[in-house]
Amino acid sequence: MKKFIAIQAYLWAIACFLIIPVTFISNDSLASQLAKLPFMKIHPRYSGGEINRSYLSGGLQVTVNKPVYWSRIASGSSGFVQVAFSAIDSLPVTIHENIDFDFDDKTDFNVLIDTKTGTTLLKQQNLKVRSVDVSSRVKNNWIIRVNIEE
Amino acid sequence: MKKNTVYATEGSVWKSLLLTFPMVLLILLFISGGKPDLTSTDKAFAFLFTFVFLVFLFFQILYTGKTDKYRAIGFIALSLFFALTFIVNLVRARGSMTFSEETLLACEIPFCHIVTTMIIIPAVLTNSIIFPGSIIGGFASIASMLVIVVGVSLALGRGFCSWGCFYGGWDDATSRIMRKPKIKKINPVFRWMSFAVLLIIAITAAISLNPVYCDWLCPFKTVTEFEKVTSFTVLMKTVVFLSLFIGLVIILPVLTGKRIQCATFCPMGALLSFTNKINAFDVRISKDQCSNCEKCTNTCPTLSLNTPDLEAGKPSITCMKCGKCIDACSKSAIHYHIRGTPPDRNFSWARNLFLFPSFMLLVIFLGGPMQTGIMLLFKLIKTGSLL
Amino acid sequence: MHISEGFILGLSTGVVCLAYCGPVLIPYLLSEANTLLNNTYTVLLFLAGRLLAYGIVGLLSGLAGAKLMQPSSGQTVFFGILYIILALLLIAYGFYRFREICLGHIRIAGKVYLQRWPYLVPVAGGFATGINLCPPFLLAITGAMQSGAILKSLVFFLLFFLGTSLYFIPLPFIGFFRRQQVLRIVGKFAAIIAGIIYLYKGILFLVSI
Repeated sequence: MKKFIAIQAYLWAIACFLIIPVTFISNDSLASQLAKLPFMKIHPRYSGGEINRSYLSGGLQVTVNKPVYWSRIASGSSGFVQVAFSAIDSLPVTIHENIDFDFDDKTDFNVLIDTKTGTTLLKQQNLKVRSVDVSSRVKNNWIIRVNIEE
Repeated sequence: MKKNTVYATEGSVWKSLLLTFPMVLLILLFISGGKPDLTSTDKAFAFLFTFVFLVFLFFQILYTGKTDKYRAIGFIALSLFFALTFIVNLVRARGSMTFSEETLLACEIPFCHIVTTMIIIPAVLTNSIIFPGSIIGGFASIASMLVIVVGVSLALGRGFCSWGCFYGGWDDATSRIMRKPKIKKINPVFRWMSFAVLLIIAITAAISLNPVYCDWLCPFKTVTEFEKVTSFTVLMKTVVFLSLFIGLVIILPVLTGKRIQCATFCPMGALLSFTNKINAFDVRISKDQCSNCEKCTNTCPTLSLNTPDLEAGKPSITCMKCGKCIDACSKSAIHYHIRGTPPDRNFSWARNLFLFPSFMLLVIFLGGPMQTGIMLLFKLIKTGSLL
Repeated sequence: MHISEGFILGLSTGVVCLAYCGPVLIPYLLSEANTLLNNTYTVLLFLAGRLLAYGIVGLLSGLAGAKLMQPSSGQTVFFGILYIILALLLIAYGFYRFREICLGHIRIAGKVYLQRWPYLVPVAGGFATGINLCPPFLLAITGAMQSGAILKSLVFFLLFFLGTSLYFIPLPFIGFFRRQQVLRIVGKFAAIIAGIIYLYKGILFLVSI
């Protein structure tokens, strides 16, 4: 019995010797397999949420994501909605847009963004809308996240 | 009981060369990626230097029978070259070591192994990863780093902390600065503090859905990247991580001769301690040969070896398998061991079977940064700039 | 403090609860030399005693909080200072040694009743450890009071109870007892770290006025 356990032990030790190169040589394929698992997606708090609708407006591609509410273990009611403005060439100096994030045909808020300075003015028209969380250039896009409450 | 206090390769050039040969091939494979780039003199020199350096280290480990001395050289080089290449790449890409909202929004933050401790519970609760990184593709994507974490944990357990962690070399280096530490006695209970850190950050990350250790505590942001200070909160975070780096990575290791950050604070180390239970390799003390001089307990840089552990014949689960106690023992009573085999036999086999995967890990992590780092240093000498 | 933080407070300091309730309960479980099922039953009775204690304290905290919670800067200062004091106590708790309650004493004291209702021993032990005014418990009281309503206070304490109770799940498997000393050390460090976090929160309260 002791001999059997010792053989198993040596086999496991040799396997450990093989695990290291396999981990690195096959990293790409193993990572691709792992990436397919259901939990391997970025939490909407960081990814900005799923895209809800995308439309053209004044030469800009406006992408409105679904509102993201991340709650603590007990219920939380706050979150944000992400809106991205994309341009084919370069972003305009100012972006002035009415946003309807729940698509009830009523403007929820209006944003005025100075893309040179980053100054962002928010005019709430829906009581759920609170404040600007983030407003920043990301490559050739401008992304804002507006805090909302449920 | 058969006593075997001398390794087969120790003192024998031919046996050491024979066992080094397979590692030479592996080093060639891993530092070149199968296609060595020798298109310029600088690149050729960097490649050759790295190759010779790594072969030399491995040969010396076998020939002298000393593990920690040569492991530490490679391990410290890993931390230094990793930081150098990482920082230079950042400055080239972004203009500074800071990341801004743009980086966070674009989910381009590289995933480091320590984040693993904070994503497990939220992944179960929310079916997603609470980190602004890329799942696949790009530098240090989440999927590729998780594969590495799992593979290395299985193969080496907490040995990763001494052979692969690109942060650990910092406090390994600072802990060796003073020959005689100023603070000689440290209560070994402090090795359990990292478990408390793991507990708190895992829970707070799960509740707040935020990788709190990265956000607030990680001292190694000092040598990688950190958030641009744009508010009082971010200023507080900067003060915290800088203080922790100065305290836990510089001052305390210098004064105590111990790897304080790794031993008492790192939550990943605490998590990897549990993998020590399933890992094939551990360290054993031969009670027949041990003279209870306690050189090993004084030498252990991670507070893992104390008087009760000597009586038990093995260090605690926090052992990082660095080999320092093995090198320090004048009676050759401490050895690497394969769990499940008789403890007082076949030391050479156990040591060699451990050295191959562990040194391979060091080669894989060090090879690239070292070559890049050497070329950057050439650039600095020639042009006066690293960029 | 949001009521969900009751759970996090329970989880982060629950190791301490186990480390101090463990020596109360485990010798009792060992001495009874029972089956796994009976041990589980005993642990559940112990937890029921703790839940009863937490329920009573939750109710009292809610009543006190409902009286106190008139929105004002004075209230913010009160809670800020209270958090700071309790956080410092939590940190001190991490360094201090406490004497443990012994279930044997409870058994001897309640000899008359226990002959008829032996299940009262673990329930009484749970209740006695449950009302132990340790700093995590005091922080929980503060958080519950801050909720300003009796029901929210009860929910806060229920979540605190659930957070601490998770650590009791392995208890029926007595072998876990071997690591009890290490658990206590980890719990003390966790209390110190949690105390630092609540100290920061208390200071933020004061700074935000």
